[in-house]
Amino acid sequence: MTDPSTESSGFAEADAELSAIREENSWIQRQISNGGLGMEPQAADKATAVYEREAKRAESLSRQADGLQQVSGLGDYPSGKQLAAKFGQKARNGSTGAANLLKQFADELHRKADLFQQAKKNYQATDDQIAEDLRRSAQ
Amino acid sequence: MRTWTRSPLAAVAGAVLVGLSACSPGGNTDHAPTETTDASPSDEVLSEVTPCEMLPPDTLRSFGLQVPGKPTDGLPWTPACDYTGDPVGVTLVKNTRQTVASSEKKSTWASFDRITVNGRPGATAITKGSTQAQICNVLFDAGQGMIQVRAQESGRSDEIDECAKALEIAERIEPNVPEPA
Repeated sequence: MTDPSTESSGFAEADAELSAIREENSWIQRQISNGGLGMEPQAADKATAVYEREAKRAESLSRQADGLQQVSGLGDYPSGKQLAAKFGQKARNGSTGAANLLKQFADELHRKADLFQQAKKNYQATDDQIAEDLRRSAQ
Repeated sequence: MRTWTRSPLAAVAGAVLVGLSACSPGGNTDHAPTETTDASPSDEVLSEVTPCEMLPPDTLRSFGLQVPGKPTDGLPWTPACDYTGDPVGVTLVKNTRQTVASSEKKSTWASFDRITVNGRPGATAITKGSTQAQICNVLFDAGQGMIQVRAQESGRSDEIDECAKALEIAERIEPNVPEPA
């Protein structure tokens, strides 16, 4: 029999990874806000599309995790009920559920997609500024 | 639209199963319905319902869902179809072994509120491990099982009422699936 406390370590690691991604996104956000990060528009659009697609995949997995908590149909025998409850516990993992974590991960992927669009605007603004500066110097 | 009728054979099979249920380990003869692992009339009545075909493509698109949906792996008695989309992503599930009433007895719910879906017994439910996942389930009885609409807000806006959206979709599915047996 597996100890539930050791099973929870998998979700704890995922939670830690999620925090790291969240911090990275916050750092990128600060760089963009300071005007220190821009991205060529076509590349930014491609990156946005990839992150949006992956975000939706993570949301789909989140819905599957929600379904895992509802496993049923294993019968009214105690063994069937216990097995169904095990599925629920594994997917739920105490207070932090896989569905919740996957949705939070999806949210960070959506956020990253948004950051690429912000970086694109920075690039365009810088590009416009350089063009304006060149135009003035040429006059 | 296809009409659904119960055959006399199904009624007889149902009567036999009711008789057998008296021998179940839980002895829940006065707390029907309980879940079953046997082949039941619901398998027959709901067998023609395919989760990816419960709604026509145009209706699915009107909810912002991308078609075709993707059949998802799961237990044989809970086939499902997943649709990504905006503003919601949705998973449609057919469950031939549970009803709204038997689902209500499970301990997996953070909330379980009885509603009706076009007059049928139904419920709005949120699972304990998904309270921050913006997921809401709407269940309603069909055949001797049930149909489940699992809606989740897509994106970070938190502007959508996923329960209302799930109910809206369930109400569109309801005329396309067999009446509760």
